[in-house]
Amino acid sequence: MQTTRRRFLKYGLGGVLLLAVPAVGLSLRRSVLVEPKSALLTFSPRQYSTLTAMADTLCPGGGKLPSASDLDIAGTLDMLFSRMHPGVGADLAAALDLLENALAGAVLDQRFQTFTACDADVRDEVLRDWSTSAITLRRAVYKALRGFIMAAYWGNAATWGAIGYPGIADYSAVPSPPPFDEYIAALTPEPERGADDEPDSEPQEASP
Amino acid sequence: MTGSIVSAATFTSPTELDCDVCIVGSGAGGSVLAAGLVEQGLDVVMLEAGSHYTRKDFKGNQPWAFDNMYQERGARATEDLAITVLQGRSVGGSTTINWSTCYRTPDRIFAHWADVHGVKDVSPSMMAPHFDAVERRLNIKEWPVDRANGNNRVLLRGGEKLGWHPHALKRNVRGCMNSGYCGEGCPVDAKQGMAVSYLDDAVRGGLRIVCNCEVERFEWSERKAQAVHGVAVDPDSDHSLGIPVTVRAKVFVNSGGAINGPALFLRSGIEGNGLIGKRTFVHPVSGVSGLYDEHIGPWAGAPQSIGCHHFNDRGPEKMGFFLEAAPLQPMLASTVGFLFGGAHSEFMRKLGNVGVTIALGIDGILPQDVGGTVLLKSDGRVWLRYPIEAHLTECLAAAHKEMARCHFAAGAKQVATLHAEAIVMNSEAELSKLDSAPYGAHEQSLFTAHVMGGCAMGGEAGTSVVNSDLQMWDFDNLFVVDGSVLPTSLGVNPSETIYALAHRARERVAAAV
Repeated sequence: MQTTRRRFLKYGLGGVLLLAVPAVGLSLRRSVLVEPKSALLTFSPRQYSTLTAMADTLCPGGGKLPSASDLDIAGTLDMLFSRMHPGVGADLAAALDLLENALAGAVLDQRFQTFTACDADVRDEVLRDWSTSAITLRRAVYKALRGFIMAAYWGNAATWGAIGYPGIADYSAVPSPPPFDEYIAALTPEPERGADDEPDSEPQEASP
Repeated sequence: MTGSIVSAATFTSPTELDCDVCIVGSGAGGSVLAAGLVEQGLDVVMLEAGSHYTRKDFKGNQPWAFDNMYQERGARATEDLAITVLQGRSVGGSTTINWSTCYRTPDRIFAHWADVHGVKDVSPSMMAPHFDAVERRLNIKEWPVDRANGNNRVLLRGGEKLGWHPHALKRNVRGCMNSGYCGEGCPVDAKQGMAVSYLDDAVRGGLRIVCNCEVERFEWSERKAQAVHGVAVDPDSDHSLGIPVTVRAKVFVNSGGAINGPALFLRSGIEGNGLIGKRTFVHPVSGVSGLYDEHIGPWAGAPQSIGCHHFNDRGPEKMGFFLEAAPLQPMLASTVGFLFGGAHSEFMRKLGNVGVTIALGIDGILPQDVGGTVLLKSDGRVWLRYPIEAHLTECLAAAHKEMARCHFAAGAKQVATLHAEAIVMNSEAELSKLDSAPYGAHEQSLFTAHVMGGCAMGGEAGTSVVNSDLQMWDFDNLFVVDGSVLPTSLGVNPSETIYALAHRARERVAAAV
């Protein structure tokens, strides 16, 4: 049977629930919630908090760099996923639930707290384990979440100065090239020249 | 007669349109075809799921571009998430956001299609007039080497030292400012994407484009397609607005691209002998980065201007590959690899001195290489299943070693792979570190911007979806004109091949009206 990402998440959580019967105390370990900065459109407060914790682990900031929390990367992604197919948000919500769950953490990562309750070093270790896990689909989930978080964080102009990226140049005053008909006409000054003839020169392009 | 570009989101009631030809999709294939049909006096309607943007919207902003002009907001990937899939979604399709690299189809690929897939009348000499025509209209010309950016100069310098004959490649630009913003929509209309070239011609000639219209299915019976049914979508969210759009035509053309196009057929119950969506190829792309003492500035300048095809043919049992460069604006650069935390921030701080070379695997040529499959999921999503087989991992291993050699030859002081645990080398003597590197799914970053196949053309109905005229074998009035008709990948960037095949299809589609 092919193991799909949806099946992995479903059975991963299913397995956790099954194990949770004798280990209900562990599965009920509390999450440390953070207050969303705006109304959530995709995730629950718990999932938003997990995403915030993951984003801060991946992008902690420092020096001239802001942290992911400073930029509310979790909020940015909550908004993004609300504009995508509902299945995408559902998959990622399931992935965040799996990451947060203390029982899953105990089984998969030998940690006995929810992800949001872990200190920074433990979170760091957990994500490192996910990124190099022998379970392919665990690496896949890590890579997907990492990609979204990194894109939202480094796509934010507030991060650019610290890495020497000069920002986006403004070309709004540069005129568009002439319409094709005019362009070709400029290349073929001889009136008798046929439209299908190849041009033998072209106007000088703008300098960089 | 002047045509129009209208958003279906402005429709307030169910809308029905009649025309001679209805084209689904406004990318490289549909646009060149539309211009030719309009020129022949035909009444053409084009449906496009994405929005219509112009240069005033293009500000070099990568997050905005991915959010608005890429399929699934830039998050499209293969089913197992192992390969990121970059495809366009706006009027002009991928041509609005591609990196403007153009190549004619290699002769050996045409020969392979004829010999192995029975493709007829698609030879270098028979295609030459079509290449000539699109090169003229799109101003496809060699980009001067002296305008190559630092990232491409790395490939040029390294490749020349190693005797690999890297070359200046061609681009479809006119008045290019070398901004490096090709992937975000050209801010000065220099890139001759479809929206400012063939579609502009076609609309001035009468083409009616309905954008923000998600096509759901073809209505058909026996050998005739009768209508396409779509729905207006909200430009901001892409969610359905519940307003049906129906187009009735004499002839229909699926130009939806090599994932959405096959998916449309599958949703319509059109299976093409079970071949729809099969043999989908992606030029799987891997990358290796080099750290240089000099400033590279990989975010500026034409994204691609140097190519190297030294490894196209690696022998009868091996997948070939070709080398190019990739632009690295912060957002895209940050998503590759697996690093995080302080180590990743350190990588990003050095980004200005980093060059990245990419290797594109030439899939679909080996007999055992059947590529991927487009699938419909029960929740309505479209997925591409693309297994990473042994021939690909062998190719990735070889490509990594050659890319690393190239960086060292170009003067890199450190070379790193994009593996989950990056392999870092400080001299060519350390290339042996790559010998034990893993190359399976999620072992390293892989992506593609070239999706091909899924509705392959060929010589027989039993082994192909369309004939050499791009007409569906099972239909009298249904054609496919986009990258999905390619029987294999190309070993070069595919846009010009699609332009030329669409140019060739003009007469054939018109004759079916």
